Amino acid sequence: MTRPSMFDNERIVELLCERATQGLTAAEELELETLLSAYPGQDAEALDRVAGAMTVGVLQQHSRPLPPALREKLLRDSQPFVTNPTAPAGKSALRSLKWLAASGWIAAAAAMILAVAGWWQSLSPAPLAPTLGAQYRTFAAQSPDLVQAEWKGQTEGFETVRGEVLWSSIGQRGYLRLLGLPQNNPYALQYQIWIGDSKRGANPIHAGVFDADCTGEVIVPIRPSLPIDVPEYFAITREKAGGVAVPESSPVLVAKPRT
Amino acid sequence: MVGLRQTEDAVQEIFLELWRCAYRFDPGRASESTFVAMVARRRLIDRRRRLAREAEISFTPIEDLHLTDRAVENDRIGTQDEAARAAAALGTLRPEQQQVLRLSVFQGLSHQHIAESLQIPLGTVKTHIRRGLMRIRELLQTGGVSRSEGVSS
Repeated sequence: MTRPSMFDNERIVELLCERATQGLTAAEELELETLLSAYPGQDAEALDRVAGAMTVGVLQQHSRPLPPALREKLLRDSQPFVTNPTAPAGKSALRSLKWLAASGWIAAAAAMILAVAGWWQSLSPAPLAPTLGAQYRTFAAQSPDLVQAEWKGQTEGFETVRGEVLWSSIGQRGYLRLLGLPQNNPYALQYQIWIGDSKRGANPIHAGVFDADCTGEVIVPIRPSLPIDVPEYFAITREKAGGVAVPESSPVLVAKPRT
Repeated sequence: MVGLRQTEDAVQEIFLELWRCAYRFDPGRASESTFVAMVARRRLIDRRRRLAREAEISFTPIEDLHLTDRAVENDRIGTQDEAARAAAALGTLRPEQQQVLRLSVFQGLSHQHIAESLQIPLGTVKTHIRRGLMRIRELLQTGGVSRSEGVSS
């Protein structure tokens, strides 16, 4: 009789993939351990090794030496581990370590670790530009003069589109979020954002173009081409790729801030 | 660039972890280099998660990475065929799976970040990663892909 495979358990596979690519929380680690206990002796590191092998591949392709002084220091600092391991090693671990030491593998392992350290060193410590979702949430939470409005479909095919627009007159910027937006062909038509401000004239102000993919979910920063006094409405039209100076088509979506 | 101090700390952690889990190394399952890279990756991911609690961390695009010490080539640990076969297997995946796996494994982006960057649902990112990793594992296990020939089955 064939033993059930842990890879038939979707949750286990999901957690193993998470661990191999972005790590697990303590709660997830515990969950995985519990789930794996039903599959004793199975190879729970298989996907980690796939990611490891991929990493070795990329390390081979992209090379730049570590600064010599750092390399020497790291090798020097690693000596205690090589000559006098302090880890809680069991019998099998000691056998492995003995074999590893005898095979000269340790020196090579050190080289690999230094390679990975070089990779680590190439990563930037600067805070990331936050993701759009994070920017959106921060903007919503921190803008003192936040104006909010819901999008309403204006034409066939846009009745079920949902979402809202956030705007700050002080910051002169905002974000829109839409769900269920029909996908566009970016080489033919693009969505264009407009802001109506009667003090600026009859024509709305251009505030950016964007595309929607098959998921229909977008978050887009709004940056008008001219200062906005009071945003009376926000509109989205479909225009030729790259956008136009004044709207050439009727709005497919409009959002009017509550006054 | 990450500070030298952080690099030193990371290396020490990896060495320690390697000693802790050396008994798990099975030459029948992976080359030594893959094993070490696996341990190092896991340790670095853990470090990143710790640091991410304080601030998000940026990763250099893979095209801009100049990753390693030449020592990897000179002092290579056992055969590198496994890495080459993994790269070949990656090349056989659907383009969208490749893209997501590259962002995840090579650039270290979180699944959420990939979803937002590519403007695709988080579930799709996870599906691409799951199918991609499972497929590469399968190809490596069955020997269905070779370094220069691609998928042989």
